[in-house]
Amino acid sequence: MWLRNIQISNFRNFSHFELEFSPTLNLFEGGNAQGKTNLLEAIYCLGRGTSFRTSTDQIMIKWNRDTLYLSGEGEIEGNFHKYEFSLSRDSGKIRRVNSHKVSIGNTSYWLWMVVFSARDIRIIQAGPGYRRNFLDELLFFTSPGFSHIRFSFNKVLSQRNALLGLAGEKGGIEDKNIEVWDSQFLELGSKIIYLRLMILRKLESIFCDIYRELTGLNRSCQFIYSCSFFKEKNNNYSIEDIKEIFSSQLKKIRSKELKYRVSLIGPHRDDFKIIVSGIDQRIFGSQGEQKIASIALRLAEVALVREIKKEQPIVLLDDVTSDLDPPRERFLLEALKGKGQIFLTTVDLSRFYPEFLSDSLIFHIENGKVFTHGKR
Amino acid sequence: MYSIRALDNLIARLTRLPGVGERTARRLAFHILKQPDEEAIHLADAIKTVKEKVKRCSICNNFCENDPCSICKDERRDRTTICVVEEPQDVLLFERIREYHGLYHVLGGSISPLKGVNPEDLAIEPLLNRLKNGNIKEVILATDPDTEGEATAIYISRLLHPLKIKVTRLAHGLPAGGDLEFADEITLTHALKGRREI
Repeated sequence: MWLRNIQISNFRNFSHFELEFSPTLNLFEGGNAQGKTNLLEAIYCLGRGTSFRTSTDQIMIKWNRDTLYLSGEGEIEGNFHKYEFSLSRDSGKIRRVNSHKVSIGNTSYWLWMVVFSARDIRIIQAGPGYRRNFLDELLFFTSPGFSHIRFSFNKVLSQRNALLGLAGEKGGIEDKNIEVWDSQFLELGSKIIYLRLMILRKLESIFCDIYRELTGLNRSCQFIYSCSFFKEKNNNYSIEDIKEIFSSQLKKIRSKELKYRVSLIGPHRDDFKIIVSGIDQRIFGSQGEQKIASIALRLAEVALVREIKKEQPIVLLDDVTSDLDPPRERFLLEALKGKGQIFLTTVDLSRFYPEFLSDSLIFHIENGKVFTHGKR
Repeated sequence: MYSIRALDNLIARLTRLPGVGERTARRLAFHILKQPDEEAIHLADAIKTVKEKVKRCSICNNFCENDPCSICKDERRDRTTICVVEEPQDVLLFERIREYHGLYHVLGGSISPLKGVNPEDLAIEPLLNRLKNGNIKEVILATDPDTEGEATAIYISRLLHPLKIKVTRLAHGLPAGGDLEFADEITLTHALKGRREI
């Protein structure tokens, strides 16, 4: 899949312009704070209906304007579709594909994009939420129906937590009232955990190969799912196994949940560990090791999407190579070049080796304006 | 600032209605203002009358002008089946298809701790009383197929279990006359699970 062109109006620091893209490499070059990442964000937003930088959509609208509008043609499996995204201050966001309204959660028309950014290191070093989101994002795209499962689970979870929140107040809550939510909580929760285990196993083997090539070291890599209610070594459970353990643990923990007034076990409390040579990268990895692991993880994501969907994802590189040493930078760029569409931001074109820049389309960005420099 | 207090008041009232924003409210208010007097008075009367005359049926909790409602009174209907729905408008939907001839029970919502709706806030107790008195053979749970509707159906089905009454849930599945191609994955999964022999 690839994006042929984009039309942007009132997005961040951009007023209005149109760009034609290359199906291979597109380079956005310019100084700091000129709008390079904003352009990547607009591309992502058009393909997915959300931002990769913020959860507050409104701030994407240009200062002093009411409505932002994006449109462009994207290719999926050989067919071009017209994508439109609009967001205004008083009404919400609207996504259209071929002039038909499509919900943001409808994954069948997503242009799949993998964003490499300096923030990725958080997936390795920050809290479990970042790793859960990473896995779930991957499942949204590769596993049809997952978005509905995840959405419903979140609803059940917040209802269940609201109910548990009443514990201890007048009369407390009756068991039968919690049990009403438990059946859906178990059903949906077990499915999420099962799907995460499956995707994690696939991701692990790809990650191992990439990590070895990226570092040139023959190290063993392991992904371990840390579930809130079963032992780490049992990563081979079937969906029925998970449901059974989940159900019995939920009964055991009931009194504790009533005490803390919150759902204590389930996929919303899970995590996964990235182990290299027996060392948990989150806790013991150096900054450099964590950086490499985060890049390997994104590359594994690209490879996995390619394998499952038989499609090349669109790759967005947000100034990601600037703190890599030359051999690793080269490895990363070569791993991506020639396989699908790439959008790359950089402050300095001269840092790239000439063969990499061949057949690329270069855009210069300055103070919210974009100039096409043409092909190299 | 320029304002007409009576008009502002009407606009403010209208914006409280579901699906009516500030802009629509302004348009409606000006429309009402420009109409002949009697038109506006008829509207006001209609609103007043509906509040005075329409009550809840003491049996099924549906809206009605005379208690009990015409459905509950109708001797020709199948009095052994009750269809449990969330809202009065759901009854209208079932009545429109003319395929269901049993009785109804309107819960008045679905269980949602987030919105502070507990089982006690719904007309579940009256439903149980109806079942104890009558000769009901089947209860159809026709709450919405979302998480809250599902939870409500589970709650009621557990209460009914000891009463030895047949409890059924509406099927989830494919829309009639639709193309398989246009069914979303969830609907298709449900339809596959609920398949039947032909």
